[in-house]
Amino acid sequence: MSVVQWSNTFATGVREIDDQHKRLIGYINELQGEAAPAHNDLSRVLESAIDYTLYHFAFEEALMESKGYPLLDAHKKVHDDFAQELRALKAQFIAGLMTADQLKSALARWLFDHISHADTAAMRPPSR
Amino acid sequence: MKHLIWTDDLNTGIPVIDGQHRQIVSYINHLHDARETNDRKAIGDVINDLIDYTLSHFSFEEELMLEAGYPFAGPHKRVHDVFVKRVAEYQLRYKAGEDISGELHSLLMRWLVGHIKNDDAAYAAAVIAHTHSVAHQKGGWFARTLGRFFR
Repeated sequence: MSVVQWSNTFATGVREIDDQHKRLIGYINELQGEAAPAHNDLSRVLESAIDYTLYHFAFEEALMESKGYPLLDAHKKVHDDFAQELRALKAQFIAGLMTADQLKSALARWLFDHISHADTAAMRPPSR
Repeated sequence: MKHLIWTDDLNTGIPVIDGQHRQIVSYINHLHDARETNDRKAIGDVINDLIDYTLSHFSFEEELMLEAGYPFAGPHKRVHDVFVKRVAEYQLRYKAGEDISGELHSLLMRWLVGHIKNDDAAYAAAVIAHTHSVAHQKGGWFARTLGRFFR
């Protein structure tokens, strides 16, 4: 069973952003394999999730910048804080201070938070 | 760790881009081989070649997106820039004597597949549609130079 499922209430109205959010959900669900995945596999998925999150943040920030979005700095700050938190989660998980379940719930909690804070008006692509 | 093997699901539908991606796969596999031999100079050379090639691949993609009027060309370029910066940091650490080649190799393997399956799939449709429409107008330089690359 999936930990997180995409629902239309998450839709921002911008396909690119929605696709990226769906992919982030995909990573969280990958952490939740049917048979408990080995610690090494989980670390690999976690690495990919971190890579992709940084990618997603850079994409969103550039989009907001191109729109002259006034709350850009605040959003960037939240992104930077989360990137830092992700690195801390990874370190704790690798050191065995955190279980896979704790990791999954931390990520799922963040993702809900991130999507529900998305300012959809700021995400629409720049007019051509 | 094994070589990356090209599979059809990595095709974007834009042959010129697929060719470049295959070249990057081959560089990533060279990096794997160089690591096996423990030849520091060979590893350094492959890292430099890989970075040069990836930079020109990014410039090429960015130009294609702009030409096609893809509305997210700016954000895509930003993502490229962030990745280049990250890889450049590995290059510096390598030059400073640190053995980062294993870490870099796994980053590149993860990145390439994600880059192709998700990032590039997003703009490919826009680029293909644009090329077809330009191909119907006589004499566009873009159609002349690039039209032959497209199916």
